[in-house]
Amino acid sequence: MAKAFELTTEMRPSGGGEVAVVRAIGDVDLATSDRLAAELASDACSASAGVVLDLTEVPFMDSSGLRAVLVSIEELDCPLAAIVAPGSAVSRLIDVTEVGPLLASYPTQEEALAALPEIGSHGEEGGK
Amino acid sequence: MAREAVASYARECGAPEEDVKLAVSEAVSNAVVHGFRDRKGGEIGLKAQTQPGCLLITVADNGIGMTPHLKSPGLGLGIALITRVSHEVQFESTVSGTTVSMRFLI
Repeated sequence: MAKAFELTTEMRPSGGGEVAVVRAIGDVDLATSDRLAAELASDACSASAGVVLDLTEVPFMDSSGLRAVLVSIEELDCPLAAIVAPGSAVSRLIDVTEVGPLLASYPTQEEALAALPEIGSHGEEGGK
Repeated sequence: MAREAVASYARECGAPEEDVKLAVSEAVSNAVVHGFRDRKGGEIGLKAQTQPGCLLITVADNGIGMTPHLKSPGLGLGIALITRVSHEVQFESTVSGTTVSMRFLI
């Protein structure tokens, strides 16, 4: 049974500014990707110095979820880094679609936070 | 629900579960977004069956067929993704619906 989809956003200080840490829990697909897009477009994310999107508790994501993330990267004025568990379904989706260069992803929150200053506001300099 | 059910069946058959889930999700999303975008409701059927050496999954809808949709919520990647993760895929589209037949090696 798939988990109910949940989103939380927490602000945390990082490098002299505040970073929005958005955590998604559950499947991201046609039924839920709009909610993820809306969260990433929220005032909290828009006004932050950077966004870290935690996808480690997303057991499944399809192209609608990927689109929500990539559109957000284009629309945000601040950098976005994703936390993606190696070997996960999200990691596999990024590999299969070859969008790695557009989506900076890291295995841990610490690495994602540390990488934010190096990432352009539209996702250049993708992670691992 | 459909995705989880077919993933469970794929696991039992020895087919690549994650690829099957992704392909089914993309095919069902395509049916919803493209097949039924100008009407309320319709039917989407999902069938999974084993054949010698493979798992055949068919997603069929009674929508308007495959037509371009400029406001698609995907990346235009649905068909490409299905093609990449399945061993073989066939699309049949008419004005009375679309059928996507996907084979996965077992």
